[in-house]
Amino acid sequence: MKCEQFRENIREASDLQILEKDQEFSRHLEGCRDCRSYFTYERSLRQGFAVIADELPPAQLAARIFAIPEENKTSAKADEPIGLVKFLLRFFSGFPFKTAAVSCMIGFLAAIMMQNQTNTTPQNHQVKKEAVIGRVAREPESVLQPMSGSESIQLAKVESPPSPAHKTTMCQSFLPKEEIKVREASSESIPGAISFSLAEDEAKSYGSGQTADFVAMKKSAPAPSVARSMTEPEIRGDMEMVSSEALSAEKDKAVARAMVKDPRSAELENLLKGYYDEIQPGFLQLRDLAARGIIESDRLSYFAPPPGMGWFVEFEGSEFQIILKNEK
Amino acid sequence: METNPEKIWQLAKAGNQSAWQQLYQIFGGKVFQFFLRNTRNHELAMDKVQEVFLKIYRNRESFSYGSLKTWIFRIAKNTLIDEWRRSGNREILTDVIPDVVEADTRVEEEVIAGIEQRQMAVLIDQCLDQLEEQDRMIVCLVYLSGLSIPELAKVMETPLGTAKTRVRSARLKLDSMLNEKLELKKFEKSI
Repeated sequence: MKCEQFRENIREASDLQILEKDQEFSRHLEGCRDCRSYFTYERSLRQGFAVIADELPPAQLAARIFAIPEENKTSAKADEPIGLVKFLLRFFSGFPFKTAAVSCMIGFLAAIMMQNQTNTTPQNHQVKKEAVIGRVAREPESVLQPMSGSESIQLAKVESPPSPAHKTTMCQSFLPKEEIKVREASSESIPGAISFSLAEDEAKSYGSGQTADFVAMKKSAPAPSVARSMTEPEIRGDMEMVSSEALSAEKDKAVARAMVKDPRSAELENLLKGYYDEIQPGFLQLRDLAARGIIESDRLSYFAPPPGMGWFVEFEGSEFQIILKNEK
Repeated sequence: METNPEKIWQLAKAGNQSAWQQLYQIFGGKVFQFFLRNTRNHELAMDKVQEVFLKIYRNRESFSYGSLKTWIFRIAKNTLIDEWRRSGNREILTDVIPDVVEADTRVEEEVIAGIEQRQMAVLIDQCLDQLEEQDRMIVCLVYLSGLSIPELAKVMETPLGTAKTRVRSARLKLDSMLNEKLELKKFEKSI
């Protein structure tokens, strides 16, 4: 073995003790002083490196290394293989896909809402009507009678939006036109005040929050006097529901009875008693009566009815009465 | 107690904290010295060791067979090269290996025998500091970390012949430096 090859073997040997056990190596080592010197150098060099390698690292480094598994447990979970569903969720959770998904969802919901809107608008209207009618139907039988066809029509009219001609309150819309005019005439000439006053009166008389069916029933009550009319909010079992026409007629009678109290009407009745055969039902013409000498001319102004109204002769059986009535 | 590094690794990979600590006892010191001799910075060496072990833990699934030592020091070598590039932005490990002639000077056996291990360690450390970076890394991997030439070839990801040439070149430079220092010691002793 040449010395160069021998030294190369020494340099590349991972364990010098194994090399020493080799017989050829030992023979060369005994016979070659330079190689023996090199071997001694190599052994000393490796011992020197071993001293360096055996220097302990700082203790805090060990603590840092030992903490690595605990600190990286969460990230280790993230590295685990995931299923297709999780992968897709992660994939679509990115910003562009998230935005697109939200937009699609909003659009989808908007489409559903629009479709429902077109389909349900008339249905809702119908439900509202049915709710009103259903309320009547839910009342005890002792209080409510089955609705007639005309009343159903009236309920429908109440629900329909008010026409421009009726610029009054909703309560006024329940009343006959004649009574509305009477009320307007007898109130202050401030439209807003009239509306409010009527609404307040109606609210007081019928109770707030009542519906058209209740109002209609209230109107059909036996004709009360003005003083006691419509003050009781309760509905009695003896009340009957009537049609709108019957309601209107009853209302006229109630208003007419209220006008009988005018003392002038009694005077007129006394004056006309002697002319019973000549009296015709209808409005009296005061000037004709004055021309015939029934009424003194100087008392015409006294008997003059309010503007737009007149004295109306009404027969009940063989008796007649004179009341103030709207000429229209 | 298990002494085979690969078996210890399997336990550590499964979450055994004790095995993980044992793994550090086996390789931690050598990896630390590898970084310390190549960077000459105590704190940086600690950071790099932590970085290496972190990479080991995070990439534990990628190592399934072979030499654990080779795998760990390959990670350490790449980490060191990254650090060099980060700090100096220089090309490390050029393919050109300069031809080094073996020194004629021979230190007598008695002189070497008379030097204590601690003194030898100090001399080696001084010489390592004077070596070029890539030579120092080769020397540290082989003589400090205890890699064999075939293992070095795997760590350096080079053919075995290239690894041998690199070791020889680095060693001759180290030998030359050490001979000078030992001659100086001999001269000091003679005085």
